[in-house]
Amino acid sequence: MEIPSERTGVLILRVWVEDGRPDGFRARIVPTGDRHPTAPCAVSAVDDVLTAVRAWLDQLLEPEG
Amino acid sequence: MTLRLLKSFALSVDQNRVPISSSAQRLLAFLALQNMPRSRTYVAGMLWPDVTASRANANLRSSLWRATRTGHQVIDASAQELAICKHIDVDIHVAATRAHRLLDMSRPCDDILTAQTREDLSADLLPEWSENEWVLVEQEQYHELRLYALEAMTERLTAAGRHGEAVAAGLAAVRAEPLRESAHRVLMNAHLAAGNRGAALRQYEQCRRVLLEELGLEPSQTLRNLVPAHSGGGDAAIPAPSGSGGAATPTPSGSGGAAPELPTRRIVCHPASEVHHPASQTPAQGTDTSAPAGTVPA
Repeated sequence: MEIPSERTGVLILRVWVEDGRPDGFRARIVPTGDRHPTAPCAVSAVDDVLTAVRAWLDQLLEPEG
Repeated sequence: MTLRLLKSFALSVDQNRVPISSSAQRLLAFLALQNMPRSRTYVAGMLWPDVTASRANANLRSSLWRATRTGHQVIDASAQELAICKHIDVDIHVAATRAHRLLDMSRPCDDILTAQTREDLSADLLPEWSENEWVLVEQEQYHELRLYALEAMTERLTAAGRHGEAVAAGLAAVRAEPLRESAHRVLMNAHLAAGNRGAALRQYEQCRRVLLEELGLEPSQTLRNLVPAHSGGGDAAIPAPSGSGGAATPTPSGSGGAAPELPTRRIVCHPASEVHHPASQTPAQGTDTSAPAGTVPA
């Protein structure tokens, strides 16, 4: 019998590039799920997206308790 | 019969709301967004992903039964597949069709440059249902579509000389994503076309404030070029970025030389409902030159 995990979540990355500037990368990061509610973030660098995704995964995977 | 999914769920017949249980609402909304028949197994798995398959199938049967209790035929159910009844008009389908027409610049679409179109494109899909993963995906797809469509609508209304409506559409575009410079740009163009340079300048300042607060960046040169540098206050009206690249090391407006520089990149977290900052609102904590809570220096 399958036992669904309660550790699930969705992370939305809304990404776009602004025209006319070299630093036009933009991302709005919207975490969902109720295990660790986190507010949306806005970033302008790929590395910041990776950092935010890793932090979100770490929260999802951290031990219970 | 009409089904409203923008802003909130409402099933209506001749303007009269049809009571329907929450589980049947979810089933009907899901089928409406699929816009094609789906197998019972697929529907059960998507709507109840966190329970066993047998439990999900039982939930589906229960929801189907509850849907029949509306007293109206709303779902076509065969032994294998489910679909929303074809006679039901779904608002998001109309809105999405209009959005695609607005984005097709090869075609005129004066007939849909209406307040109703703007209203539909200003609303998110079932915003209170974010706990459902399948809704999140659909929400994002429509959100993305409406961002572009609102900007296109603003440009079309500006070109048609309908300045007031253009500004309203532009404001909706900015509200949908305050960090999009393209949204600020079309709104500023609408103000300028109406001869309202002061409003365009205020919009520029709002864009600048939001970008500084949330990203520590200055607006692009393209946006700065929209408003003449000497309009209503000399060079101070449109401050140039202090860094050579225009965005790396912004200087907060009104700060003296002793103020420390902002971090070059920042992550500023805030509730989604606080994304939009009205022009009249004073800058929030994020403009402080000290690192605010939730800020991650690069």
